[in-house]
Amino acid sequence: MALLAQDTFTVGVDTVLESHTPDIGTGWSVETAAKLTCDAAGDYCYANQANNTRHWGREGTSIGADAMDVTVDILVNNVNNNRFCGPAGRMTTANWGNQYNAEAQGGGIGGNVQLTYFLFKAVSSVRTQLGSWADTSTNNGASTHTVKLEIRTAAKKVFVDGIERISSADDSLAGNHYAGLTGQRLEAQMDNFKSESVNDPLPSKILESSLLQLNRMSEAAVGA
Amino acid sequence: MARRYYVCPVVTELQADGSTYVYAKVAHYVGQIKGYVAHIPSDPSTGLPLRNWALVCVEADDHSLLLADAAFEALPWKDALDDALTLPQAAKDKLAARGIDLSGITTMRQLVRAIGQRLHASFDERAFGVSS
Repeated sequence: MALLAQDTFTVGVDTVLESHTPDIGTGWSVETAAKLTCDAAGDYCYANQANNTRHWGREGTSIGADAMDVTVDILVNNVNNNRFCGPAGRMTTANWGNQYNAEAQGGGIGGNVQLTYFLFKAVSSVRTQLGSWADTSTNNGASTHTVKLEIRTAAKKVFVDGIERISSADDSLAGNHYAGLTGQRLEAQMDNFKSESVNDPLPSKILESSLLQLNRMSEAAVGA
Repeated sequence: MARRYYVCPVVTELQADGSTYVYAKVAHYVGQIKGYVAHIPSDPSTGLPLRNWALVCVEADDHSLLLADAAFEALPWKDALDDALTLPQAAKDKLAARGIDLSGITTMRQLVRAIGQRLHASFDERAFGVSS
């Protein structure tokens, strides 16, 4: 596991994401200029628009492989389901229409905000909802949660506060090695972005390694 | 909380902004179920679903809404994936009509894998699930 990019969105004055330098990493690109902002008072990132348009940001450090973990702390203390945000992975620098993303979406009723988490993929700009998981604990939207999008060849998983909630067997977008985030509307806040590379051994490599070990054990036994 | 598997339609919608949005029909029940995951492989060149149906795994306290929806084909309920399975003839006929090879299937796991791999050869049921 290697940490390749990290951002606490700590700024002295409100700064648009594309002008902000991450704590670790190359820098941010955005789909639409000046729509994602780092907030100086709260040190978080959010979509600075009061309309229902999703905004994307992509960190410029290549993960160097298909497998990656992308993590963001989210706070969506709002009952409306048009407020959402979360991490994205297997992004490409060529366009904004190909990626996996996880997101926390507002919901519930006043005084009892209950979030629902989703897993999506977009291929050639066609967006597909792959799954959801509802947190039904009381007023869970009032506190910050860590959302991790874990991308491996065999599975795309959404973890909430360290617990696996959604696992998809989908495998698309090989060769896309960038990570980022997405958000819609002011009330969906993101903090502590991290992108990490991981080892994702192919089954053939595991088999090769096991056979090699068996061979060595066999040779040792013969030698004994 | 109980987990059940279904085959259900895939919905492809053209949005007002000209984009295309795809989901399994089970998404209509988000808010009434605990969670779900759908297997919807895409055509890599167009992004559109390869088939107009999906395999879905649903966690819910009460599955009666889905069981009452004629668009859903419920797979037999089993406590565990490795439990022995006897498929009713009507279910066999529906699955066979989708091109699913049912020969030699004796457990729920084998059935889920066969359906998933009919959608895409790389499907692995061990990577397909949702939390309760």
